[in-house]
Amino acid sequence: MDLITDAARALIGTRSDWVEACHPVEPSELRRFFQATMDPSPRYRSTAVDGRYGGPVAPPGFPVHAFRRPPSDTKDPLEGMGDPEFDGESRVFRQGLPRMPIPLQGVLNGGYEYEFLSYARPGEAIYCRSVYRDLRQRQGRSGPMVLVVIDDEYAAGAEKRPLLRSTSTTIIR
Amino acid sequence: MLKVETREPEERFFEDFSEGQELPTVTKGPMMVGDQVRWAGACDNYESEFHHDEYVAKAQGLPGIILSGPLMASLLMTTVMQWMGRGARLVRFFDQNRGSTMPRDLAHLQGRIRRTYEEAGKAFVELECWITNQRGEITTPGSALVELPRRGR
Repeated sequence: MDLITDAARALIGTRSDWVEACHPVEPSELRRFFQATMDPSPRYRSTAVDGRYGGPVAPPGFPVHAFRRPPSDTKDPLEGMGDPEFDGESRVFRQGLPRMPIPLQGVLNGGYEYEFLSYARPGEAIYCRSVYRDLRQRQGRSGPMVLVVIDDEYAAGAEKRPLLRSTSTTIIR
Repeated sequence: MLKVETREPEERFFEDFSEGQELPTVTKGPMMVGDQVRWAGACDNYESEFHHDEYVAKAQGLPGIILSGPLMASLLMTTVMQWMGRGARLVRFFDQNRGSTMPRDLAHLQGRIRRTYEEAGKAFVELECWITNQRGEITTPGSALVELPRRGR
């Protein structure tokens, strides 16, 4: 059974515009991030006086996880969780990309490939733009799966200083 | 209260690494649901219920709650930065979520230098890194490219 329809295949190569994270980098979210990743480095802490960066910076992978639900979004993402009727086709992969119509419910992260260019700093706005790079169907142990490959570019500030480039693989199963 | 020891990685140089060199194993865990909840809070991402609800996880054909792949990748990336020292610049990082880390699993973070080389006046170390659990299964293979300072320059 081919789960990658023509409509889905037609989205390969679709690019988003720059999408801005709903608020600039906050010291408290950096704290939660480096505590969650058990990172003892002082360069991310608000007390950082490291001359190399001139103050605290965000952990290199932080921008990927900085796109949160904006206060203006009144639709609770937890609403409808566990809905047996959910067919997967309304899933949003990136705020700026169209929905990818893959009719499977489960989703797992397959992995990342990062290229780091600079660190984000507290107070900076973070931007992301994305492109659907590829779709592949595989047969897994528990049934068919579709790999959705997305390239993302992250940047900081109005001048869009490059932060990192990422290729991520999401497994739909 | 969560206690995190603030520690600057040691200073290391390109000359400190050689091809085939094993890096010291770092063990995290046992990993718990609390590690996952803390990560979900850090990312404001609570939508994948199989990360915190055993019933949902099993209904989706998983063996039980599994910890987030990006959390495990972040732990591996943090460890790479600690191995390479305070002067290192992480250039590239790759990880693949091949196996699951479940509550009460140990995560042994391991690495080996694959290649050292210079290019355009800069010094680079390429390494393989991976996470194994207490059964010796590789759950998260990865690799990294790091630029390092030269000693005395």
